[in-house]
Amino acid sequence: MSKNTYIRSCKIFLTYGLIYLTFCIDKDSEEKSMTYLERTYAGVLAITIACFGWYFIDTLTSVDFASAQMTEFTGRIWTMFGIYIVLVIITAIATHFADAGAEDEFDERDNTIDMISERLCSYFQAAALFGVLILTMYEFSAFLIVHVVLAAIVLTTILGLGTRLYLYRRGV
Amino acid sequence: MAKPTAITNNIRTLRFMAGEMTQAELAEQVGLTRQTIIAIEQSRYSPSLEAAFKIAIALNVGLEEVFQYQVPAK
Repeated sequence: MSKNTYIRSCKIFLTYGLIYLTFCIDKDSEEKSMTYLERTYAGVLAITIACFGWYFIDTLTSVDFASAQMTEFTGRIWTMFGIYIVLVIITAIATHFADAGAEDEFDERDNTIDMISERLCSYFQAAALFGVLILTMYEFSAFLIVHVVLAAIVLTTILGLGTRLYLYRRGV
Repeated sequence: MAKPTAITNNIRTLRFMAGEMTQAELAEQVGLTRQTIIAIEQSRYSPSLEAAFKIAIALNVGLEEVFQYQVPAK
């Protein structure tokens, strides 16, 4: 997939995702079971995959690992973080207007799902931390270490949000 | 597909018998979200003992009339 096709796909995916989250979920249905938190998690998950997916595909397909300098990528990483934060805020605002008043709703099921998800993420974080420790001990480049850390953060976020969404659907 | 819990319930029937109480009304009375009530009704979530008692009190019946435990086959 070319870079432009990927970016266009991400834009379409995000636009329709936000429209879906905002307008198309029947909040009043007896069988409808998507909480405010679920909607937020779904939106943030879509944004995380789109933003960081674009960054990693773009970086990993264009960079020469042997000569890559971290300074060349610092600006790009900050830009991506900026876009990510803005999109997360837009999602939060869209979800807030779609489900006004529901943002304070939080109960024991949310706590249970949070605990299970966080426990799973902690195993992954520990493994990632160990990987970074090894990379640092063997003096790999700052570029590689930063990207392994970034990948670990992104994958932990995706794992955490994905697990939560799965548990809300599947049950605990 | 949802994974059913070992605890089944009659909340939907009992809500109907309690003056067609809505999920939102029950949720408000017991201090849970409506989505959690839906998950409990569909046996996708086993509530805490405290929440189970609150549901039984809100429906004005005993705990065993609301919830039943299905012993898993060995």
